[in-house]
Amino acid sequence: MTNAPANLGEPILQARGLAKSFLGLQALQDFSASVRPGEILGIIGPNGAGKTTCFNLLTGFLAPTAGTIEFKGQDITGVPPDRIARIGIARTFQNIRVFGSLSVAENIEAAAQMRHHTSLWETLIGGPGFRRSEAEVRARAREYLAFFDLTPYAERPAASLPYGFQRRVEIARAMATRPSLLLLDEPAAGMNPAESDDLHQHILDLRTRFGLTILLVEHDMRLVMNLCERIIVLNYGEIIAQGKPEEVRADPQVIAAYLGEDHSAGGASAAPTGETGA
Amino acid sequence: MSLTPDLRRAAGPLAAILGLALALTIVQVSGLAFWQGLLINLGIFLILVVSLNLSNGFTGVFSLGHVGFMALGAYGSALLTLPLREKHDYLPKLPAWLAGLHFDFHLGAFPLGFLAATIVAAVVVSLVALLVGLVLMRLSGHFVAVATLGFLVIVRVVLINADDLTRGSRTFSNVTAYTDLGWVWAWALVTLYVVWRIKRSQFGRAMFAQREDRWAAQSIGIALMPPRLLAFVVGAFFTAVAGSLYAHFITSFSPNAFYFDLTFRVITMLVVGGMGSVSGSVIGAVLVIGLAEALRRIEDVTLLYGLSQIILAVIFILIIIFRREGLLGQREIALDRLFMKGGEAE
Ligand SMILES: Nc1ncnc2c1ncn2[C@@H]1O[C@H](COP(=O)(O)OP(=O)(O)OP(=O)(O)O)[C@@H](O)[C@H]1O
Ligand SMILES: [Mg+2]
Repeated sequence: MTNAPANLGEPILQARGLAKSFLGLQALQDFSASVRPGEILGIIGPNGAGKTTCFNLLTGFLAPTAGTIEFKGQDITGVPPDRIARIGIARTFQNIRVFGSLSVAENIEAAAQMRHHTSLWETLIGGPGFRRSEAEVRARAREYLAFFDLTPYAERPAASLPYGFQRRVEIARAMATRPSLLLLDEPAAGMNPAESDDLHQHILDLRTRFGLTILLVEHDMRLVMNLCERIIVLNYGEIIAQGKPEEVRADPQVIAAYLGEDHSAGGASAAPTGETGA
Repeated sequence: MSLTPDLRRAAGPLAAILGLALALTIVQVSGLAFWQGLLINLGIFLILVVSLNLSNGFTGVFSLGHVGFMALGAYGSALLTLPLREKHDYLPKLPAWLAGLHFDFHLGAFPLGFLAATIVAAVVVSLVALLVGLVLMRLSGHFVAVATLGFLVIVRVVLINADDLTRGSRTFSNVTAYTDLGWVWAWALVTLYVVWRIKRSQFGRAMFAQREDRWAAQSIGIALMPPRLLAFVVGAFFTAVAGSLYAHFITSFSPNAFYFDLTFRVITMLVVGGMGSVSGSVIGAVLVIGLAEALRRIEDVTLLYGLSQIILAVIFILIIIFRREGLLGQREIALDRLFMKGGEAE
């Protein structure tokens, strides 16, 4: 459970030459990256740069047109998303996808049950195995509700919560599968600076407490620059820069890519705090 | 009270079951034929709507073909329970292996053969559902509705053309009247119990999760097909049981009995009660059957035949427009909390 964010050992995730095209549109090309255990790696880029596509490839929701993905030394290219989740990669979605009419607690339970299988027969007779695993699932869900300060909302339908809370439900749900790698797609979208600081702290806590590796797609530059040890910059589906935040921030190509976009906040920090389109 | 929470939790359902048993016994003994018929009808519809809720409401995969499984269950079990000699005269062209099967055996006075025939028919129908589901459950939205409707049509065409087994479009009669209040309500309770258990389990959560959002469900390790198939197959099992109960209640029927009319009626019950709510389905069945019965009497007096169907259809449309989630949505009226103080519910 404890972890020092170090770069020892094998990469936990290794992408080689990943590419995806949609009817001729090259959404991502030649994406190679190697993620070290415990690292927080940022992926940034203007709207439509291919960040979400990259996440969809890594989590099996899209099949790559080319390239391979290795997770913990195992080739997971083309593995369906539910199995990828079971192997230990969890994610959140840019356009929130909570189970809207289920309660917040049920949202988390549905994820917590991934590691507690009961047979149909045991379930029907309501035997001790069923009761034990239900109790465990519920207890674990309560743990995550508490960790994400969601306990007061446990019984509310997820769709009835404000936007920022729904994002938190999504992260809690992803974490309840007990992943070793977490992919966050614009978790700070729609949050004010205070909420975003809160999120920052939460992500750090997650890493230390669960020994997590994190990939972060985010437009909130303050969050990305402060949180990530390393950043990959995408533009039109291609990696145009990567390195430490201060290196990336100073890269002329990155500045050009962002200024080329019609963003207003570009000036001082070189990279804008732009909002997202989706 | 010094009862343990477990006991107190069981108290509500137990009280309900005892109350039901008492009411059924009174109706049975009193020989009130009208009420007996009505309650048998209600029980059969209860099984139909609760199992449809499992397949459609829990998973959101809207199948219109379930009554096809009911037809198969009805014909299948009726074929099995026909007494051997009658079978020979009635269906002379029956294949030998079927002609030799007979399920009209008893254990003392208990018609064990009826139970066995019902289960055998339902298991076979479940296998059919598994095959159909493997193909159709991959679809979603309107495609499932259209494809499963196609299944309903196919079942009917097969029944009409399988003359040797079903007498085609002619009435299939001579079925022994095994079904009574006890049979129907025993099966209804089993159905309620199983569907309730599934709802409050990993299987139910997986069904609801993939109904709410397929991508999100997959992102937490829930594959789409297993929960859908489970719901579809278990739903088909109990639908076939309802078919068998119906066959041995009405004792003569033709393929027409299992078509759009019935499909529409069951779906109305489901939508009135709420997709995903088991107790809602019970309420939906009671309301629709009660209303249909009342309207039928108005028809008899006013001679406006067809009125009841029109009114049911209008109610259906109004609910779709103004209260799409039905009376209960997916919430439950929890019997197990009836005798508990607020705090200890969890
Ligand atoms: N399913 C799809 N079908 C067709 N084109 C797609 C699909 N998904 C993404 N695209 C296109 O691929 C490109 C990359 O999209 P992607 O969503 O990965 O960008 P992004 O970097 O996440 O952008 P944003 O910051 O706006 O979220 C865009 O041009 C987008 O229109
Ligand atoms: Mg995106």
